[in-house]
Amino acid sequence: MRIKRLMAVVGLSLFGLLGSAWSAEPVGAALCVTCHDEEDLPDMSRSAHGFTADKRAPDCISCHGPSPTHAKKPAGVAERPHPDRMFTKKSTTPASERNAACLTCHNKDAKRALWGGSQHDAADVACNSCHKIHANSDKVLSKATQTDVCYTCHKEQRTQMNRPSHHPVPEGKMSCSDCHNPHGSAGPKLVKRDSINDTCYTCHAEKRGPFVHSHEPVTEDCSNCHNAHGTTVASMLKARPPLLCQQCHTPHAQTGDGPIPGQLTSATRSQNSVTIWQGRSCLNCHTQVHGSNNPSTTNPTPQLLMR
Amino acid sequence: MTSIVTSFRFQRTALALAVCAAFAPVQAQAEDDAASAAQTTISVGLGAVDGSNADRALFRQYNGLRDQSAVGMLDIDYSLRKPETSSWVQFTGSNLLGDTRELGLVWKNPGSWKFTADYGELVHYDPNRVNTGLLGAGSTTPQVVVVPQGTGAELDLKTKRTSLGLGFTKIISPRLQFAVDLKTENKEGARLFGLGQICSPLITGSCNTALGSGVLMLPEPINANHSQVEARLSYALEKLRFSVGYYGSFYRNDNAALQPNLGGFASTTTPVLNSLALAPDNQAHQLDLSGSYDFTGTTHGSFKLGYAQATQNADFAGAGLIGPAGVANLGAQVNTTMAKIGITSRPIPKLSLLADLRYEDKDDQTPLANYNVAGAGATAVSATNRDLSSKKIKGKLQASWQFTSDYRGTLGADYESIDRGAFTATSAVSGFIPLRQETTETGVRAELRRRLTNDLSGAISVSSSKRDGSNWLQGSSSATGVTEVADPATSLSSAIFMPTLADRQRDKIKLFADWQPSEKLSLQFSAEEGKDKFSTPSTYGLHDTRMNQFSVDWGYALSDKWALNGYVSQGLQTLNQSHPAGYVIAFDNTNTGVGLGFTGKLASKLLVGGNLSYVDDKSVYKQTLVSSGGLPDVVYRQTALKLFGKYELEKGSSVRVDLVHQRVSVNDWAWDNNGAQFAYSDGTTVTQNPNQTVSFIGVTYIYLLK
Repeated sequence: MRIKRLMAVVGLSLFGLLGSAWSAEPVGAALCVTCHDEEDLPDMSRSAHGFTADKRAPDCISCHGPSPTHAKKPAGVAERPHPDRMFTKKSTTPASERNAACLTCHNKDAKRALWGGSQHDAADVACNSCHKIHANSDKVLSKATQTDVCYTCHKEQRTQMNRPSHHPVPEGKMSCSDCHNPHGSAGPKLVKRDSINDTCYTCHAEKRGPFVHSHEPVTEDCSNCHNAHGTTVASMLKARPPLLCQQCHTPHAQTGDGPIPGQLTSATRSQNSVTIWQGRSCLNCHTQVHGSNNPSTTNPTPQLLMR
Repeated sequence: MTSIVTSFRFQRTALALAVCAAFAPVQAQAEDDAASAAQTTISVGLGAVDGSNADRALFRQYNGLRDQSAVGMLDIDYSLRKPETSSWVQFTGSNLLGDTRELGLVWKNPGSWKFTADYGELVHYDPNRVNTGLLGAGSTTPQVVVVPQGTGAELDLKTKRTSLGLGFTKIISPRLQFAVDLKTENKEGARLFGLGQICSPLITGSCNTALGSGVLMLPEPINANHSQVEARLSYALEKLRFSVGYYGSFYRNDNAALQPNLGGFASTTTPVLNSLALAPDNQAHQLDLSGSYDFTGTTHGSFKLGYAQATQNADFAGAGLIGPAGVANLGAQVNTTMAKIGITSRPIPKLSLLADLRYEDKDDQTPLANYNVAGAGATAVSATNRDLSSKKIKGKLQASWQFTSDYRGTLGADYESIDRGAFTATSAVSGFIPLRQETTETGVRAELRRRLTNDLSGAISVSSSKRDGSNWLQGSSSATGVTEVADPATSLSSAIFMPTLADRQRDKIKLFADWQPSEKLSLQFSAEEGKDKFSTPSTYGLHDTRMNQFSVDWGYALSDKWALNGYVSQGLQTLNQSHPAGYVIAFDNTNTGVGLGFTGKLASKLLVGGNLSYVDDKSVYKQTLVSSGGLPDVVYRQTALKLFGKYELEKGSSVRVDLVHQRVSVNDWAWDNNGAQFAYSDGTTVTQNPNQTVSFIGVTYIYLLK
């Protein structure tokens, strides 16, 4: 819209309706639109940057710089130089410079307070690597299409999300940014809150406890057992019980060779290899694997996370 | 369902504007009118789904298409921008006729204030189907009824979340901003749960305290609310920007305990295990101060300080649970202090420096009480719960050097230490797990990155880290604390050392390349390989793990109207572990994924597109001591074809047709081993259709109101 208004100004100046404007040299963004119109650029009139009533909305110069040599090709130069700051895929403008232009306005938002030194900043990711500015809709801001952007770099997560046990990201009911803050965070892996567990608790507060009988690996880090991006094991477990459990715990049964055909009857005892390997495996009995708040002092005490 | 909205508007070129400028006042009025016009997109449609419930087990996990063969579809997207009043309203509604509807409202005066409201529903259906005689499944008092396998009632386990969110942001001044967000969510339903160590005359074999007997499937009843509030006041100066925030989280569970009627079953021990504690009410509060500071134009700092308190004081008696005399609730309180500071600097144009340090102190103030009995018989002693305090320090240093305008090299060092605090001497250790108070990990990284010039960019990075820790400790089952083990290789030779505590060497290499050989073709290559090797005093436990991932993505523009894209990826995960029971398992998981997509214009008014994806995931369990055939492979394959066509009837209205066809085969012995079903002691069985085929067709009419 700003561009269109500016073009209107250009038109007005062309027809001399502004008095001496006919002979006046356009300046600033008005100069840009003498060459660049919507034939050049997609419509962005319905984007936040295109809302003319917002006094904070930028113009061409705000992002691309005054670019005097681009606006007026110097004599003796074969090709017109690029603007001061370019945001194309092949731009030679360093990511830090591009990002500085964006942060001129966007550094006031607390969500971006920890951008400096964050994984994406350190990896030279530019704002325009993910965000599309000259458009009315930005794919990365929509739950349904955000993963298209994130998977550009995060291939392993794409693979994991295609597995049967996953958060509803492929279905468009959740997005990467429900758990991650790509602009920097105080937690690992750019999780939204200050730790992986605190991030998980925003939806799974029942796991927070604290419990009478905690399970230390659970209290320490949910990702010790779960891969939130998806696995082939129920509940997004990183490995199938009892394998996962037996990375720390000794197995009950002396037979480690898995379920035995023909033994799958109701007469099965719980600590034989069938019950240990099948069904919910260890969780068939140790159901309170996230912790138990049962205070009973009678044996077997709930410390074994069975009740 | 996502609507694609195409805006059909009068294209006003500069020339047209110039001509119109002769009528400047009229034009200005027209501009305002156009800008103020509301734009509403309504998508209404009908969908048909085939396949039984069993066929849809995985397809319906989150999309709400449980068993209906026809579904109505309604989406709304409304936008009103009024520059003259500086107001902007957006309203979206998706899947309004389904079980996973979402509504969102944003009403704002950009630069002044913003109000948001959203409502959402999300259903998760368990892909497994349960056949059981259980009565009152999903309640806190289910009744166990024994039935012959497969003769009970079909039980569909699901959970449903219903959430409401409200938010308000006020820009008080260009420097000062206040924001508050509220969210409340109800979650209800039931999920797989159960009880072990029960016996019955119905079960042959003895009931004794040494070995349990059967297991029961008792769904966990879910009826809880989680409310969260976040408020933040932000202030920005020229060089310093900071904000003060509060976050509160309040979890309330209507179901404090599961108290089943076990019917003919009883516990193998006394007392009867007929009261299972469910998640207790709990709450957490956090205050934080975060922000950034520009030391100079090239040196910037960031910081966050946080203090959080998590408490849990759910009443034991109210939940029907009996604790130690005089103890009404756990009275849990965990205080967490966190500080993070970072600094980035570019002292000279070619050099970038980065330093980051994070400190976290988790102080567990939960009172200790005798909740445990350690040992048995005459030697039994009381034991308390455990203090789970910890301190974590994590830091990194990184330097990058710009060799040329194209090449940049980076070196980095990482450090992480965790101090789990002194073991609570009055608590008991169950099981035979060596403990460690401290672990420390140090690592180095190197990366060479090439910027996209001459059509090729990429990066190669290698990293290596080593973790070790303090001396190993051996716990006591008689609540006498822990003792340091002088020679763990001898005295802990048959123990399993936890992979989260064990010495570990981790190495990783990663390669990424982006190549655009022409305007029409772009290619991406990605490859990574990583290895973890664990060193422990015993030969048992996790030895090593390995992962790799290779992928190629491509996009090709056939013409202005047609484009293709696709990817091929393959990943591998392996782990090798051995057990005191005498067997070694080598687990290999291989995942192959292929995707092929296209978009195009068949005619000026007809857009088409589609995607074909294939996933093959195979888990192989190689074992020693295979006396009975061992474990079969677990194979998951999914083929999905999605096609769409969109035809513009006239300006502002179009018809869209979506087709989805999905085939899944899953071969998993968790519930079914070569046709022999795992059965609970009461005859309950759990199944999932090994071959699932489902198709969906949807026809949507999209109308753009302006």
